[in-house]
Amino acid sequence: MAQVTDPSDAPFAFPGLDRAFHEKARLGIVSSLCGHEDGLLFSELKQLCALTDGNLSRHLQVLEQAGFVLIEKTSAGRRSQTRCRLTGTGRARFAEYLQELERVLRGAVDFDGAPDLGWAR
Amino acid sequence: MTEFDNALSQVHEIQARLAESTRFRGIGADLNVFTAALALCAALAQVIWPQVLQPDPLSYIAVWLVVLVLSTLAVCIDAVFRARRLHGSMAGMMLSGAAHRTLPYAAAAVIITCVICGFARESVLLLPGLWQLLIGLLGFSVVRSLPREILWASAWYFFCGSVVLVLAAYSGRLDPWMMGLPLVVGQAAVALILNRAERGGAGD
Repeated sequence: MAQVTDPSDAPFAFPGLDRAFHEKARLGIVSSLCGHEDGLLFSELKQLCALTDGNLSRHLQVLEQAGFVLIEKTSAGRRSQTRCRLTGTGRARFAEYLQELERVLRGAVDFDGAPDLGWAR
Repeated sequence: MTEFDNALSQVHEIQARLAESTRFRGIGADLNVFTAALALCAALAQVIWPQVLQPDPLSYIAVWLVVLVLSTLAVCIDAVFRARRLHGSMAGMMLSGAAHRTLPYAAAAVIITCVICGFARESVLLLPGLWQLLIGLLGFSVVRSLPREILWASAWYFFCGSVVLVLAAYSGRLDPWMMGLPLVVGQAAVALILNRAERGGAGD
């Protein structure tokens, strides 16, 4: 299969749409975390994203392995708490993801049935 | 509004939240060391050549105005380059947020300086203290986007501004260290705080 080397040859490839973010639950998790520099508690994230414990843990693990989220165990009195926050890399990569997503949406708004393959550049 | 427009506005909202909660890394420690050194040089020059650099209060103010303008320009230019390098695609939004927070104070400083130098020269002794109060207020206003310890540097400027206002009004004269000491200590403290934050964030 021929490899596409020039991004302008494949305007619909969307290389900036990182798979780690491009999943409904993970997009919800990262969108929730991005407004909180100090992060959120596991229980807060669970409520904000309407996810079960198992699902949230699984998605957080994917984001942690990608280096986008930092998961810390803290203690509040006798109870231990899990706090999650975006790393610097996670913030930068999510900003790039949003920029690409914006390009995709702008292209869709401008697309009027007469394809102009230059829109996604 | 179409679904696409709606989706676009949601993306913009998330981008704004991301930029607002991200620490601004455009202000570097090195440039703050430079501004502290510039202030030290200006104070020493005024002590060594008082007849040339502070024969009257307006000349004193002119020297420190040059120091403040040069420092501000250097920090702004450095901030643009650093933000582009360190914030990547978020640089524009981060710079625009920083400008929104700082421009009102810069405008207030320009207006106060112009009005006092142009129409109320008898009050020119109050300018160093007022400038320092404004720098302190500026520091308090940007504390959310810089390391929290910046509060101490802001408090220092606030304290110095108040003391300098009283001293200038009481003594009726301006001393080079009334601007020199607050700026040298304040900018060195800002540089130290930013340097520690940069080292702390390097492992992130």
